[in-house]
Amino acid sequence: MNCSAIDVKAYALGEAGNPGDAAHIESCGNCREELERLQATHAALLMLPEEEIPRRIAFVSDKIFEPRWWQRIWRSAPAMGFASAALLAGAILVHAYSRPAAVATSPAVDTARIEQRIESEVARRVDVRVSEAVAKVTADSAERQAKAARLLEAAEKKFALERQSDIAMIQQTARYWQDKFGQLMQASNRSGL
Amino acid sequence: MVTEPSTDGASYRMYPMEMSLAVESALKRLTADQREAVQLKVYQGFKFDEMAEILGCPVSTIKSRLYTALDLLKESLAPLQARGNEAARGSVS
Repeated sequence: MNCSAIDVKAYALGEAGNPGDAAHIESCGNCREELERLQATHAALLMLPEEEIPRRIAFVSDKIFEPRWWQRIWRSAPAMGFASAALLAGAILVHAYSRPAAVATSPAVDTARIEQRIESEVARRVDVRVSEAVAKVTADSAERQAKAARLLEAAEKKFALERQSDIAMIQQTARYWQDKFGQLMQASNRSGL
Repeated sequence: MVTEPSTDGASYRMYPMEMSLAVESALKRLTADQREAVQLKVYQGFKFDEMAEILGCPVSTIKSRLYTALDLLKESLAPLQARGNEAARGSVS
């Protein structure tokens, strides 16, 4: 058997090899020497105190086939729902804690400004109403005066017309009686003749 | 088949503390993958196929890591083992 076909390291480490490996190693000086060196190294390694299993592989034997954490989360609908709710709650909290910072600095200023605005608005409206009322009263008074003037003028015109009519009637009556008197005087003169 | 470590060699019995320190130093010089393979094979006693399953690698990769680690350890520990052997021979003679 050829030495290259023999896995001396695997043999030294206790791995099952071909059935003829042991016989070849026993008979082959090189292989036996290599085996002795490997065994000495193995023995030296075993001299160390009990080695703690590296954390990387401490639980790997029973968890190697388990899905990774993100795979478990991804495959778990409740966990995703919880994560979404937690994210939403976090966003709400961040929003709630970030907004008052801007608002909290100016409530007094805003209140004063609002009160000032209300006062100015009320004063403006009062002024407008007062002005409107005064204007209305003034307009009513002027209209009333104008109406009275118009009535007075109409009455005066009517009175003048009536007076003229009376004067005309008196003149007509006077002229009638004057004519009658003239006729009587003429008749008496003719009869007196 | 599991071969027991040689107990008739005097190297590791002559200088146990020195040998322990040398082994520890030699192990530190290995890569993480090589140290992991040595850990699983030498100290935990797993078979090659079990190690491949645990580490998620092909058996050939496991063998490559482990054999390289063994060669490095053998080279690192050889001077100390030679001194131990000479001391053992001197005490016998």
